[in-house]
Amino acid sequence: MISKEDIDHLAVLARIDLSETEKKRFFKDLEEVLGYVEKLREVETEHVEPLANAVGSYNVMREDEPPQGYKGTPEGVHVKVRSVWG
Amino acid sequence: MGVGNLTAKECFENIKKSDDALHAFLDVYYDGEGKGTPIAVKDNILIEGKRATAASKMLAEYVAPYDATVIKKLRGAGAIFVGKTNMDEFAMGSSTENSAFGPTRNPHDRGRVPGGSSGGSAAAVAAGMCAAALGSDTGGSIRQPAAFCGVVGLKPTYGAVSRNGLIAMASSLDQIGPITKTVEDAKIIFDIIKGTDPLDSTTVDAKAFSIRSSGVRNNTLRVGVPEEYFGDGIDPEVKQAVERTLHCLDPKRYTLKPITLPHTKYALACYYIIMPAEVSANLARYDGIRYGYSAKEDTLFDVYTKSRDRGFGNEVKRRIILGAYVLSAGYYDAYYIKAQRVRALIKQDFEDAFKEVDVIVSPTTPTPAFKIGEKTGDPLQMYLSDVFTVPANLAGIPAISVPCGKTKSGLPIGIQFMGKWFEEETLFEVGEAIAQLLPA
Repeated sequence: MISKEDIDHLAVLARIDLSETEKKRFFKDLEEVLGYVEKLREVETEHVEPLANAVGSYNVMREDEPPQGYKGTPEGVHVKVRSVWG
Repeated sequence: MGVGNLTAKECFENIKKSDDALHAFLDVYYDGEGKGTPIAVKDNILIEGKRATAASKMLAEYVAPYDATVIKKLRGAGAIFVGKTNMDEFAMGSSTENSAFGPTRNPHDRGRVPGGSSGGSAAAVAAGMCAAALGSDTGGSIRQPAAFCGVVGLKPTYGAVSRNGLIAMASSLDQIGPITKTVEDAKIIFDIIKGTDPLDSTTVDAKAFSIRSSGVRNNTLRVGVPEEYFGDGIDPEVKQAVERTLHCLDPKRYTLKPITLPHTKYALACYYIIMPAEVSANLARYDGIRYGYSAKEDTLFDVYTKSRDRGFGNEVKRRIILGAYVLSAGYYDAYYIKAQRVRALIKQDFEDAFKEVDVIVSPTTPTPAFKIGEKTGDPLQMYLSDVFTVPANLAGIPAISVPCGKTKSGLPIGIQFMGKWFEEETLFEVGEAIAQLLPA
């Protein structure tokens, strides 16, 4: 099932700087939860469509304008961040 | 607004008297002056110009730039906002012990939890610190604390109440709803806050959604009793109180009918895949750039990873990691898509049942309020307290918890009714009938 390398990889994907203690703990927790949710394998779902919105969804459109009260950023309309490299 | 029988001044007196001990509130605004119905608001709902922390260090300094739609509506109807209530961090938890700012205590027994994640709101209503409160419910977070605190809690139909201005947890499951002393108050608040909103594209016009019951046939309401919700693992006093209450309902008006909801035993597993997946997406925005806690680091990667490490608590991190896992390449179909298919079957169970009955009953929770610290060691144990509440969120149906008695040691017990999509009226009717059965 889940491996220690998986936790390292997930921490990078989720952009969270987990400590070694946290990685050990979450590894155990995830093993336990994933063990519990394995029971879904028993359910026959071959011809069942996945359901994302319980009451049905449809497109709602609006004008492509900034929302009311939008004040922009300290830089105007851009956001300044640290260097993307390194 | 006609909700509750407490003046704002009385609420404030009660806050002054008890909130040091109970810690239901994170921020109190109200100073005892002014007119209006005093409403407490869970701290994941935005009030313009006020702090909204979601009980997280990540948002400890965040000030809301706009009002949630429900706040605008309540203000227009004469509410004054008493303050913001404590909750589990980012609404993740069933006890309010996951708050970054300390737990809230149950007014009925201060050594016990008020439930979660809307524990502060439920405790505030129970302790007379407000006339009514708003909570949010993703897997039971209104209903379970309402049951633990002996008050009424309604999770509306998905799409009935706008989520604009609600700090998102799991977008296909979240709903804002009222926590109140009486069923009548819950209806008053619901009628004010419901409605379509162009700022929340998942809101649905109830009128367009007519599954109006054939329901009230021959003047009787058929109450479905699902065997899967009355099995093992329920505290005997809870089971007894719920069954006793049910059998007191007027048989001229209510008929009890055994039903089965066959996929019930998969609901919690389904929820604990779908919800963390949506959480991992919704909490990606807390990146130390747009708002919230920002770590002063040299590289962008470190700004992200250290802001999130320091800003988020354990349960939040756990669910983000779990969500990232079930959505990751190679696992997406086996977990996430599989869970969405099971979700469709769970919804189908309810559709089938609602051909035979008008409302479905269950205990709200398997146990009464547990002790502070009792379940914090084992995440899965904590998750199991949601077992009767998550199905309604998965299927999108409305559900209400109403007090139906107490244990011998004085802990409140809640009875839950689940209704058809957009038929909150039926829940109010049955809820009121239950309330009439109990001593004042």
